Amino acid sequence: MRPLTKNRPKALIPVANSPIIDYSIRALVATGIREIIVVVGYRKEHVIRYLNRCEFPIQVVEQKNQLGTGDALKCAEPLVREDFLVLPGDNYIDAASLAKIKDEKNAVLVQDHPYPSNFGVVITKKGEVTEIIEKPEHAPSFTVSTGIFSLSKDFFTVLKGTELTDAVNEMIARGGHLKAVSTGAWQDAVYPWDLLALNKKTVGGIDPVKSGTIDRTAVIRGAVRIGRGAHIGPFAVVHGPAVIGENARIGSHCTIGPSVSIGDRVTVEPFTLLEDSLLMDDSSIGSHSRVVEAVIGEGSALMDHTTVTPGTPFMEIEGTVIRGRFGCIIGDQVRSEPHCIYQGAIVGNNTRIRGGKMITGLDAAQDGVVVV
Amino acid sequence: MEKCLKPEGKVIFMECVILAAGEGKRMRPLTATRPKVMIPLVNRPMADHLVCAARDAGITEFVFVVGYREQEVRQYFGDGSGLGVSIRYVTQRHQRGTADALRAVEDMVSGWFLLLNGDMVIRSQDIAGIIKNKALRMGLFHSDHPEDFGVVTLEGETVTSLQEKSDQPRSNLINAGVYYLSEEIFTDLRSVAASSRGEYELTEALADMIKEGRMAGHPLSFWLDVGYPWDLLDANAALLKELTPVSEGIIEEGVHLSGMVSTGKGTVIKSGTYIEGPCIIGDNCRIGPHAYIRGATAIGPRCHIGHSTEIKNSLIMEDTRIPHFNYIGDSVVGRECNFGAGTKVANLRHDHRPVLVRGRNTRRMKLGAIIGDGVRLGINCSVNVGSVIGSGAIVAPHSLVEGCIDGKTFIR
Repeated sequence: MRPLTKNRPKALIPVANSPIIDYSIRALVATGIREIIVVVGYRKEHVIRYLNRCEFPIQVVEQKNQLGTGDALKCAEPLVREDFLVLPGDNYIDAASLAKIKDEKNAVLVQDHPYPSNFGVVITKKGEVTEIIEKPEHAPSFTVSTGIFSLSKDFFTVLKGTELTDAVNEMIARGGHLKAVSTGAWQDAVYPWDLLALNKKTVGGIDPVKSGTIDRTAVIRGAVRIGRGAHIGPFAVVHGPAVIGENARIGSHCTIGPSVSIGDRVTVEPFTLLEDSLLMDDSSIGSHSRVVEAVIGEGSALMDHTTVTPGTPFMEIEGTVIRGRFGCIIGDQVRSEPHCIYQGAIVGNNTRIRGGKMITGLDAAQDGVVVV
Repeated sequence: MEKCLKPEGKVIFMECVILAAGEGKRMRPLTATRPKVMIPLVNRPMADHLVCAARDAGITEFVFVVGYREQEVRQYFGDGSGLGVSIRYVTQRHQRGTADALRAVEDMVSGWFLLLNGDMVIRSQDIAGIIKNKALRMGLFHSDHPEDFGVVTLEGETVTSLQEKSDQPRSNLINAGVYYLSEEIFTDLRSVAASSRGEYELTEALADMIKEGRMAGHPLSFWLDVGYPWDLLDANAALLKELTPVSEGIIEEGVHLSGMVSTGKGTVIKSGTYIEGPCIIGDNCRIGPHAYIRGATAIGPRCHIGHSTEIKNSLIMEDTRIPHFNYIGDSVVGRECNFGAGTKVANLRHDHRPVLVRGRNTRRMKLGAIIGDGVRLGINCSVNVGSVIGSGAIVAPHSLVEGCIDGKTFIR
């Protein structure tokens, strides 16, 4: 997830202008669950600050060292009073799926995935899980665990190691049952470009409202949410689903959407096209740009005549070679001068790109470099 | 606004608790400056209709549970002497459900009392039926869409179960929000836990009484629930049917009135105006010349409906000006709005589908717009079907307005 997780935990990356964890909390509340415990660790102050803004109290426990999911769950043990749900805070899930397992004693939500090797692969027999194999090289099935479990309180007796999966396997080995319940709504983000899919999914569920100052010649079609104090210039065209944050400024003749999230105080200069993209707070895009399948971090500025176009680069990330399809992933506080081209590029935080550069793959992936 | 003044019939000593604390989120933007129970129907707030119905059944002691924008309620009703009743108030600081609201009045009522949800319209005969003898009783109503309400099952007169709002309702008898209870309820209220919505529901406190077979059901002859803004139009039309018209306004020569038309004090209906009832026009309005008003319409006090303006099946609140060449149909318009010349509201989809408001099917083929307070529309604006315009929005001339517009939005 680097560069985006350098300054914030993954659960706080905004998609459709709400942190990822917000969707889990909303799904829980909609399912009628209000006793929520959040285990924090990496950059915990960000998470706590966010949770303090919630309408109802959420309990927080700290995991001192990020050893594993089982260890994280163990941290919450003193606060768990009855049967419970476990959710990763950095995945998307909907209320309907949670409702399916809420009243089951020992169940896991599973989903088919084209690349199961990145996840816990679930082996089932007649709807019961027989084993979960964590990140196997050769996956025996395409069914993966979403990491969302409904468990009984006595699960803590088998929770010894640091991995939740080991404990689950131990429970099954001791004759415990674990029902596999399939969902279609779950969305994980393993690689930064997965945020584009997550964004597409979440922006599709917004409640359309127009606010701010909108020019009467602007065309707004489909589900579009425009925040307070936003400014939509003359002849701008916004195709929903799209969300535009508070005090954002969309210049004249821009074309925005579909599947675009624009954060608070973002500026998009005139004559720019944005499609299938996620722009975080305080970023800006210069005029006459074309930006497709981009994730732009907080406070980053792409100056005029920038082109972001999808590419499918091969990349080595943490020792494995992978190929993703995306336009660009740009970290926080990046400055990119006019006439740059990005194709399947990852750009580190605080990087500066001189004018007229063509960036692909990991060319500029390191933080704080200057590309001349 | 006009109030109903005369109490009828004999007086019974009994308290009536009216729950009037909620904002009514589904009623936005009409609840931006008033709680839901203060939304007017035939120029009187919903709660006024309710107080009068209870009073006509003989009740004179009222306790209002207020909260959201409570000043609106307190100012309008005062101590109740204007309506010939006595009203006391208790403030519910946070709107945490009906059980929580009722808890707030524990020290103020004793013995048997009537409990009414503030956001509905019922008849005094039904209230009289419910309080006729001292036994636990709740009002029920036959609904064609019970999936929108809590429903009950009956055996003879006894309520056998109460089911929260569900997609598969067990019956079409819905819980109308009218209860005749004794003070023992306060003991049951203590054990109510927060529901899945995070609210303290009164229905949970009733569970024991229902299980013991002590709760009787009383079918109501008439009941109007106003959940969504468009429900106001039906409620307004139903109440207009029963209105006793007054004719206190000045009607110039050359005005045509047909059907029931009620005009308030100081109102002037100018020449060439054509009004088809049922229609109520408040005090100090200026109507016409050459206005065309069709039923069922309520126009609040101090409105101006001017030349060549047509208004049909709408609810217009006080101090709103719709002065020239306007068309408004099947719409709710808040107070202090101003419509520029030639601005019109569409009320029918040309693909003949039901109108949607914020994605919700209203089940209505005809619906115009829901317009909050203080909205100013420039000349020649077109407002599309199902639009929601928040309070204080300003729209420049010749704009197309559609979808949901937040309060204070500026379309320029």
